[in-house]
Amino acid sequence: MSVYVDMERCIACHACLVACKQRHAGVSNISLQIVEERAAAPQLCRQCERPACMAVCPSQALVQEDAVIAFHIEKCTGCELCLLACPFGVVWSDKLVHKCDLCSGDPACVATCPTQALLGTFQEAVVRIRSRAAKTLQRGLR
Amino acid sequence: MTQAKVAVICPYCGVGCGFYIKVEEGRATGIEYMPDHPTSRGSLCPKGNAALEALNHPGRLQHPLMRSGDGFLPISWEKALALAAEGLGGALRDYGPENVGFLASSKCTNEENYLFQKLARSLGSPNVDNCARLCHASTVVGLGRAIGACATTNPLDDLANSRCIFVIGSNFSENHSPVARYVIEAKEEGAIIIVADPRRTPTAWLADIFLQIRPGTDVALLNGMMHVIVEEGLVNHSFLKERTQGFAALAESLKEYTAKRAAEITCVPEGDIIRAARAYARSPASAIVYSMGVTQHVSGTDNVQALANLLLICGHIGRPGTGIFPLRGQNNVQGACDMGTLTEFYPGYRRPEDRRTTEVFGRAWGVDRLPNHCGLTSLEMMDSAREGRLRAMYIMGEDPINSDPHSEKTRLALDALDFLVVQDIFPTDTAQMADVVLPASAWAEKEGTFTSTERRVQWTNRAVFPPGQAREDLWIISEIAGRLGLGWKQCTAEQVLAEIKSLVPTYRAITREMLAREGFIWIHSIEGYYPSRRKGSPILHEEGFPTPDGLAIISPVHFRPPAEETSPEHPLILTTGRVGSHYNAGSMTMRSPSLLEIEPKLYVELHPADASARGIVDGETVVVQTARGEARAAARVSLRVAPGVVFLPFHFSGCNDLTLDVRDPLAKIPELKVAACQVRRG
Amino acid sequence: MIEMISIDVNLCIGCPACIQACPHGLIVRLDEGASRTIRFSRCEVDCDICVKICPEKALSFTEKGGETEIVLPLQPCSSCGRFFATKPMLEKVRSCLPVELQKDSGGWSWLEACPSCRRGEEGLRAVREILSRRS
Repeated sequence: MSVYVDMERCIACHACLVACKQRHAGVSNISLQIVEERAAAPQLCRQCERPACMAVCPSQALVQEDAVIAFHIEKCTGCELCLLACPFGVVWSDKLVHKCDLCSGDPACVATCPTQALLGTFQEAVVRIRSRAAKTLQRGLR
Repeated sequence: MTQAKVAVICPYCGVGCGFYIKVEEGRATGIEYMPDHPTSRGSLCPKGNAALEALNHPGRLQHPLMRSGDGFLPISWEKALALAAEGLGGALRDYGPENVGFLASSKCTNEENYLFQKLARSLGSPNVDNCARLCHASTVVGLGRAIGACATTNPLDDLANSRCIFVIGSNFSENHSPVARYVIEAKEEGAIIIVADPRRTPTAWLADIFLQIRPGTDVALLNGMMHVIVEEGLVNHSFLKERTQGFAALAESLKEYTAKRAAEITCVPEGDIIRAARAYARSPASAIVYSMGVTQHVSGTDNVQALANLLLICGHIGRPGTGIFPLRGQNNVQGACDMGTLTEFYPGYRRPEDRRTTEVFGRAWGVDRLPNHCGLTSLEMMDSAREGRLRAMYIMGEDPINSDPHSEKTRLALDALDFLVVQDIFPTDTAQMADVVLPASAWAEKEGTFTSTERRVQWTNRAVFPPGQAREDLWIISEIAGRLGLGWKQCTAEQVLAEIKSLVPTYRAITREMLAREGFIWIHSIEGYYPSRRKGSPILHEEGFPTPDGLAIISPVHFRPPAEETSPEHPLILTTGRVGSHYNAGSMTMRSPSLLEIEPKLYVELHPADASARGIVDGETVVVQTARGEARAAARVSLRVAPGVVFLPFHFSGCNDLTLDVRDPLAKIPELKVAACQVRRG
Repeated sequence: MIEMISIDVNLCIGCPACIQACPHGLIVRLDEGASRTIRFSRCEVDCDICVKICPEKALSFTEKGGETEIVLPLQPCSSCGRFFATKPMLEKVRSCLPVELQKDSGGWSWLEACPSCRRGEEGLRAVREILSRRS
């Protein structure tokens, strides 16, 4: 389970970025990309089921712990192979490697998003997508 | 206690979000979200999230300062207050209260603002104003005249009930982010969203109909829309008959504003103007959301009147999902205006010329001759200072050097004063020009009320004490009042609120309990008229308008071009505005590392066509030049602007060196949104 | 006896582990054009942090020598052209990844894009549908 992003609602306000920084000693594990000046995509670790980062780590610093791919900094060698392994480019290094850790269960970005574009559970994501689809159908649109 | 969680209201914008500050050993260490806040529902924009970076910044003013040569010397409070009283008192004595000016702070609480204008007026000066002059003065005058009240008419979450939302000159996605949530909720229920803005902002992303309007042509657009509405028989005749006056004159004036003519003036395709007009008029409940893009023009008052005309001919007011939302900027600009820190209003929007006003306040304040006329607005105070008439100023929580247009004029003005006392939390550029600097308290270091843009009065608590020797503004104002012979006692915010309640009818019903719960949304009431069949409904104008005869006033306005047109020397239109990561003149956000990382410096947005015509590549340093001066900025080649238009965020020093100080004749607001410029490689 | 580092050039992949770990700043990285040079100076104190931390076990001690270095080829990003990692590092990553992570018909070519461009690509893909509906 990761933080689900509803890009339909993202208004590129950067609140998630700053909230993440406040929780993580000044570094952000979420990055915001503005596409063609018409939409925005917040991007963060997807807590993959078959994590590429974990597969390449030489020192077992990345470990699957329930819903999170946890990062144990005390085991990190600083090799940065995980950065190169991530197909989505959401592992970062500013001397120390960092990626989304779901804030130990209460993600700051989810709580702070002014438009609720970030959702913390799969259930909420499903409800959002399904109800939007239902309303669209109801109005007879594609 | 060593650890606590204190509820505060955000110091930044007018949405008035709540959050908790974690306090450990007397220090603010973190922020916690407030999920049950009625407007923000726990969310916070980036500025709110970074609020403690400014609060705890080491550069906070911690000592009273006295000018010494080019610099400052720290002095005691005793000495600083004595100097302030002497400086202001001397000017009052030698030049009269008409020549002393007071600039209040729309960041300060209602209690502080109330005392500030009480101070000014008790001393005989009618010259008290606040930064609303720069932002929503057009609303105060225009909407006040048209519908009798100059505030948002419905609560912000009511936008979710709209079937059509017309956004013009507002970028709420960046600058009032929680509003986007309600607009999106309406959109997801099928509401049509219309956005009129020269730039394709993240707010425009939500639009079903995007009207990329040429800066300064709002009246043409609105008249064009109204022309379509009248011609296609979409006006609400029963509403017009029962609740308005003046339609006939408007209908006549609209004849020349065909959609074709409007398209020519605004550069918006004719078809889009027609679609937008039909959508707004036909929907059962339409709302208008607007902000600086409408107000900061020489035709600002007319622009607002045109919006009022639009909603009145369709009857989209006084019901859920309708209304008009002038989104106020500052956390307490609505309150500062309610508290009468405007030269043309006493607290509660009472007119100084009305004999009853000076009687009521004179009795309450124990002062014989209160000023019974309008004084100087904030920019007029600067004019007067430059001309050698205004001799002293007391500026609280304002940085006019960076907020006012045409910075050079402001510098000359403040330089010309005999005496300037500035009360602030940071050594702003304005504070640097003062004779005496008084270190004040930030929002989390005081208690009192803020009134948000939806008229919600909320109590904010003290989380920590001010740093060093900084003191609360209530204390400072009272001390100065005492030394100027006004015999005031020191009082708590609660005591001041009690006085406010007794004098401002719309605040009369406030109780501490309701402030502690979800705040209190005031409803306009004037003697003899109390609105609302649903008692306590937060929607204004349900049954009548607080105008002399209860009817709204429709009045024709005509398109006038902006004050400064482009020329061969300055062929591009410069428009200014905000970005979400910074706030106004930047005294707080420019000291917040998290926010600076997002936008570190002044940039200029220009269209790829304009960039390539000048050989400018993205990122390079360029010079933006107007008839007032030059500023260096980083080029940002972007499709947000149309060809021929460039955008500068005004938070950074340098932007207002370029802007134009030509004002709306009624509201006295400067045309910050339009200037002519040239951009060249640096 | 204060030692000198010896590098096994067949094992070193040019990652930043030893560079970031050395407490005395004796290991220096120089990225110039298409090459990365990692230069080791003689140790000043008795310490084995770099030897222990190297993920490839490419470092060991020797008594001889004062300075040694290794030069590795850098991979330019297939999208933006910026040199973002050594080729051996990317080869190491590829060899550790399960075959399911080959992206469609592109195979392992996604590895040749830098993390920033991968985000860009992913972001574009994610909003494509939204873009088509927005004016």
